[in-house]
Amino acid sequence: MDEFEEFVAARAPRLLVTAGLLTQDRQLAEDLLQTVLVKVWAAWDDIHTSPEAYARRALVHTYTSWWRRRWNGERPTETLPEHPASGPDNEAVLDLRFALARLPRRQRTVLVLRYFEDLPEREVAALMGCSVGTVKSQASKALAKLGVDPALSRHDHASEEMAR
Amino acid sequence: MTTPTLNDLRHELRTQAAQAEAWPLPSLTALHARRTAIRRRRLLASAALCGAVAGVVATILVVVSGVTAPRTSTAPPPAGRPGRTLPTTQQWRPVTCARPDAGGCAVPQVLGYGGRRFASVQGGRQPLLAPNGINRRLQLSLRGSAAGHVFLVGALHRGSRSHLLVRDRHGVVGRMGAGDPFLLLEPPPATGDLAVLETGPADPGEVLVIEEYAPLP
Repeated sequence: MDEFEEFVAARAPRLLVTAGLLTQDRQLAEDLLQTVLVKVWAAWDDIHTSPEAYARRALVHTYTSWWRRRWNGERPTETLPEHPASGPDNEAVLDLRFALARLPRRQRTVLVLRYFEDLPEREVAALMGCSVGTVKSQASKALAKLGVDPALSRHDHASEEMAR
Repeated sequence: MTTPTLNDLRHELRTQAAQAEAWPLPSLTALHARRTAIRRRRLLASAALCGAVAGVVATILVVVSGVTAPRTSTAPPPAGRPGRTLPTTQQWRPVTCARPDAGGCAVPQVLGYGGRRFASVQGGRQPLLAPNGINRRLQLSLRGSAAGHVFLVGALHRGSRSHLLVRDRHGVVGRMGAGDPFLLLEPPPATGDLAVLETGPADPGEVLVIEEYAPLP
């Protein structure tokens, strides 16, 4: 097994999870992962830093840029891909999941990187190739669309700032 | 119904992630196949490049050996238009092909040129409407294109009598017959518009293409 295959064996599962959160579709996630791994392999000899960082950048870039042309258009999901477990507030969970699936790609990317990967805004901006201000505005718009209480968002942000 | 909080959002993302973690990894056989295909294409491209270089050298030798006397009627080269023509080349190679419906290896996702790799960042498609042949022209503004970007210009599904002209704001910078591959241009940034025109018969299904590529780190 060469170095690249070792990298794939170690990191591909995590990349597939991120791809799944971004695309919300197993087939698309697999396609995205394959595309990214081919890109990583093609650049393998020139990657002198972290291959995982390179792969993550390629994942975000591929998803937010040419992805929109190759896989034309949003896929509004009338039927949800997976069924949530039963819970006390099932309707709210469904609404949240439905709204999340309908977010534009860049907004969904910001939320996944920010609230799943727990990356700071500066790193999200670097990964997406945009400014911190853009990350903030995209996150704000996305949260508004999800119906997440902005006051809670500010509270959460302030808590994070205090924790640092 | 309650207003969702950030904790709800995090919980939902974690739930979806847990579902994705249960997915089996896609078969690496496909990845291996693509790697093999890329390796094969690289070898073929290298062989083609060597062949092309040999052909050019042979042509030059033939031309040089055929010159017996200086020509006095040769017109001087056009003056006063420095930088008029954009550098163009057909010596690029696909590294990662696009899906067949997006152009396949003719308009790859990643291409190699001059020892570097470039990834597609944006592009335009213009289907020709045969037989009237309207929409014969596809134009892209270069304004805002970053330095170092290159452009792939041509058409998919061309007919045997296709003849493409590539123009920038100064005039024609390239011509392509039916058998020629896509042309790669390296225009400097902010040089107005880049256009490709079909001057031959419009073939059913023909699609004009301009694709912009950014250098990969």
